[in-house]
Amino acid sequence: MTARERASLDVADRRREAEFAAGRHHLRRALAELRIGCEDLPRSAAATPVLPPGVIASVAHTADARGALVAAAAARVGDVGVLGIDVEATANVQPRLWELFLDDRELDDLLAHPVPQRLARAAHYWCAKEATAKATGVDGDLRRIHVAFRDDDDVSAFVARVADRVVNGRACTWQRFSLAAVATRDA
Amino acid sequence: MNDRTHLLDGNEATGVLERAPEPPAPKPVIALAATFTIDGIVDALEHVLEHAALEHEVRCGPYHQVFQQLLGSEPLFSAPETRLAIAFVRLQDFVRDLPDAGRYAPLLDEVVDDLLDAAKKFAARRAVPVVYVVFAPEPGQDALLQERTARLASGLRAIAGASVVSSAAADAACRGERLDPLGDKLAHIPYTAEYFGGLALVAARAAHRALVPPHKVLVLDCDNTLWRGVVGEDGVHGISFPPGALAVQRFAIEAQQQGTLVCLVSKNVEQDVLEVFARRPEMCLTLDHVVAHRINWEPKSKNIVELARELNLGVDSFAFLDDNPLECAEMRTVLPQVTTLQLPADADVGGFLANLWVFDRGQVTSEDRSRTQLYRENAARRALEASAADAAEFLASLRVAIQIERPAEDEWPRVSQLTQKTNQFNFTTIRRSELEMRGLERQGREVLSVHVQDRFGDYGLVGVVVFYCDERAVHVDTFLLSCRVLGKGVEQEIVARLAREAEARGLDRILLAFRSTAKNEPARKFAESIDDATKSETAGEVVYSVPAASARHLKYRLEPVEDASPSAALRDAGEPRPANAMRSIGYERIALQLASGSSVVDAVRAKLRRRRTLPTPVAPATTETQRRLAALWADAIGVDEVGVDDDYAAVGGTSLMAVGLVASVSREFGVALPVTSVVSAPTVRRMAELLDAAPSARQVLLDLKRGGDATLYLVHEGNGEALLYRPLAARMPDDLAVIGIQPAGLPALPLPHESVEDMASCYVRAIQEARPTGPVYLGGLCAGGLIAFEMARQLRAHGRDVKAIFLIDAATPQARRRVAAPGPGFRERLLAKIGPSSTDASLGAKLPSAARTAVRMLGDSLRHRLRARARQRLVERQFAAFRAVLRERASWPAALPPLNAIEIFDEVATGYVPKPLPGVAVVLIRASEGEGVDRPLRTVYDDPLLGWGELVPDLAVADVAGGHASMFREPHVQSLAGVLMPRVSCARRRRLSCSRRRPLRTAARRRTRGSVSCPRSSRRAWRLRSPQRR
Repeated sequence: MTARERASLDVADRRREAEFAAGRHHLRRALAELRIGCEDLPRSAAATPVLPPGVIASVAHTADARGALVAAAAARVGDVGVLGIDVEATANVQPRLWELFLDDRELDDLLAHPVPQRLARAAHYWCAKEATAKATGVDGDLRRIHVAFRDDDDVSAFVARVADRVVNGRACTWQRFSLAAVATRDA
Repeated sequence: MNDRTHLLDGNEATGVLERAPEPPAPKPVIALAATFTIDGIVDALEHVLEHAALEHEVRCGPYHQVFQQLLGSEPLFSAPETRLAIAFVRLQDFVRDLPDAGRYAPLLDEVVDDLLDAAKKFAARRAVPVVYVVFAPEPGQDALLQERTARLASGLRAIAGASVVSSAAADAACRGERLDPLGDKLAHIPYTAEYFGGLALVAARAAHRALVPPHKVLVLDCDNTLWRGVVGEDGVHGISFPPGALAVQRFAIEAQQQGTLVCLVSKNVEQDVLEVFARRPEMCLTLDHVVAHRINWEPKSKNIVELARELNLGVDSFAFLDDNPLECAEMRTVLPQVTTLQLPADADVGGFLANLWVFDRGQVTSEDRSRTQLYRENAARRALEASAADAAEFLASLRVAIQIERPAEDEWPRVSQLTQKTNQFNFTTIRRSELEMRGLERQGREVLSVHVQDRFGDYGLVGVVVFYCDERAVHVDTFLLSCRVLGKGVEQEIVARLAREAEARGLDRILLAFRSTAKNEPARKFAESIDDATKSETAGEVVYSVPAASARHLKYRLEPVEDASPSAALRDAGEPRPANAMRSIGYERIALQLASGSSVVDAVRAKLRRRRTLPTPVAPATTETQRRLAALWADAIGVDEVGVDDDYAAVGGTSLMAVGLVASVSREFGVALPVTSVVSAPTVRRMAELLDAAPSARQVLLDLKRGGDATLYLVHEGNGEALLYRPLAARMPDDLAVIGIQPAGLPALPLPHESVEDMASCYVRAIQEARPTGPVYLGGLCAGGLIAFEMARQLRAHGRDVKAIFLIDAATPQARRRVAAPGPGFRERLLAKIGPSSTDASLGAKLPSAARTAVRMLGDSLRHRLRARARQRLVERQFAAFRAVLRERASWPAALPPLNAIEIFDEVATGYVPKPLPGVAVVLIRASEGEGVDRPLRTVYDDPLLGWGELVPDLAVADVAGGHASMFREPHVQSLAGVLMPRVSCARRRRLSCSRRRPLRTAARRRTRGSVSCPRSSRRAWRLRSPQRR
């Protein structure tokens, strides 16, 4: 974490700092893969990273009782129009919340799956919707974002519809976390 | 996509790592399997286990794989690192999807048989103890389940290595809501977090019982522990026996009966204390229960060391119970090996002792039950020893009888227990479970048990030897003897017996393996004392080789046992073992602070909570709403405190937490906030304002169409739905705003009002706040019409100009329903069933079957009535809960199905009597056609004016196309709009387009307690589903 980055951080909390530093580290690595060197990635007032021109990126954090996970994604404008990524610890997406972010069809789909798959699938829905919200800037009620996984047993690919937009996304499970990302070619 | 992930280690990151850190040395594992989703228990269970000094990792097997774990097709129970397995079994989960008992009865039997079989197979295969937590079926579930559950539990109890715990203990530890119907339905998580906390306590206690040997000695203080008062000052008759003191006595008696030795240590004059025992009849603890006492003015730690010497036990098997914090502190400092427990205030003693795990015993053997007797006989023996002229004479006078043989079938638990508990005269200290012990014989080892008795009594089974033979020698891998029988020639006799075994097999040596521990000095001393024994050392193990020829004549020589054992006890005392001191605190915490499920959950949450780190000072809550809300925020975000002006995101809130926060606020306040509330109200202060304001701002007013000053309010129908007015709103004139009114409800409480007046005043408040001026038109379908009528009255009281009311297919609660033709009576139905009887003879022939039919019909009718009564009771409970939620802000009990809007409306509307409303134009709009769900109300009621005629003398009536529901849809909505248009567009044209009222019916109108809303079948069709409103 650079001095400017540290200065841009809102609170001085060890966990927050560590989360932030990890996010920046991975963002830098993602940028490095695009051959974009970048020293400083301070935080803007809107809590998003201040990026070099021509780049879009997305960073996500989550934590549960046992640890935390950070993910970052970056791309060049032109290659990709919108980009959003989200991670969440599966256990955090409790059943009592499902009805508050899933629409009827999604809830039915969830209940059509065997019990052991539901928690993870619900977390994938959550991440898919959050990633879509980040990418498209559609805030608020996630029930307005409709997600369909391409396959019944495989959550690796999904289509999200929000208002009149359709975006494609990918999702995966890593240990006890769910991870989803969406990207489209046009903005 | 270009993503990178990495782990932060625990709550505090240690830096950036590429990969998850390698786990440190693996902890032993407690493995869980359940017939439902059990994952929610893990954090709570690990937390409780930590306090019990059981630093184990808790791992969950996959969902509903109890069979597979027991049979080994799932690996967790059988994994080498698993030290204990816990299986949570609910029989009802095996028949979850089968509707009726008739279908699942045979299946249930099979499940029970298979489970018992699998449990037996596991016990035979693995030496891992299994705790079965067996769940009693819910009270409503049928007797068959109860009976099979009982059979399963008793079957499991009979299996060696298995222990059974009933879920009833968790029920007791859970004071709040137990069941979570939503979690059960969605993810088969049938219980609340609090109940999982209670289950964690039950499971941890069972694990503790299975894994931790119990303390052997309970040392009790006397004054203010066994009684209230100080006997030395208050006198024998001045002390009292409050419930707490008696609870301590009963606790001690129970522990004593299960094999714990009870001692007294008191700073007193001995005679005073003994007199209390002799002269106070209230004492249920008697001196017979007490194996030894030290009543003097010495430090208590010194007395305990002496008791340890007298009983020949290490001080770390002592637990000390005292009310005095100073004494407890002294003991914890001087003798940290002793588990020191400070007794709480009298009122808390009962709970404290009930949750004190220190003396929990898995299996109580007959030796356990008579232990006090044995130790007391020992004391008598010592007295004789002291008086005997020499040791040989003493020994002869003891008349010791030693029996060495293969253990009998019922002795295996005791044999295993001895390997677990014997520390001093134990050559190798190999601990073995009962299953392992039994398995030894299969591996070609021989097991001998040693029974000893003498003229003072029977010591019972006190020694165990395990050995095997090869071509060279007899190898002894276990040789242990209870210290109580040392110094009587028993150990010599055992070696002599082994020598005979060797010679019988043509072998000439006995090899005694010895592994040195902190405590087994007595065993080493004995080995060193054997003549001709040679010693060799390899890899930490000493082997004493004893020639069989000399060993077979081995005899007891003068070697007083006192030399060895007490020194061991004292040496123990010199080595502080902090683990035990920690354990004292842990036991106290469990008994006092973790006694209920909710306290476990709170403790786990508190552990994960981090400190608020905003630079601004915490703005304290000033209102009750703010205070409650700030607590919910802190919980949802996981910080220790939240100021009322803290920004949601800055204080650490995420979008997932926002959803959780909205769910808990809705539950706590009985108000359905939109999911996006934290965006519109990002501080506690703003959200509290939202909650405190009239419901208007949130939710009541639903914009259907924008317009000018004049507003048409269309009130929700019986199901609380207002969106159905949208097509009508679209057809209203441009300058008229149309606003739907919907109830400010939430899933458990869709219509949060106890009367129509209250409902109306809530909506009127919302209107007054949002649109305090301008002419008002009111209308509503069915229930909505009635509410609109009441709102008109209240709005006029506020001085508002109410131009017109549209009662759309709505009836008053007093309007009389059409009575259906009465059905045939019992006699007619019976006759119809048995057929016409022309003659007496044919009737006679039909009598038996007629009687059967009559009985069956009576049974049906009885069942019907019982069902109706049960339903009635349910409804009564629902409304009791409804009122509790409204009046006391209680939360809706999770086990109770929620009421829907129409049920609530029907109930509250029966008490509403509309009052005349002169000077307002009232239009009754009636549907004209439709069947079933769409049936017009005029075909449901006797009165074509649906009860309004008397109230409104100049009632206008209009009939429109379509039915009760369909009149709002295309194409009928056109006709409906046609009725409204002229009345809302321009006052001058108002009178032109509606038909005059029809003549009143003269039939008497009696008040009926009927529903004023649509027939039930039509209600369902009415409920519009929209993803925004659930």
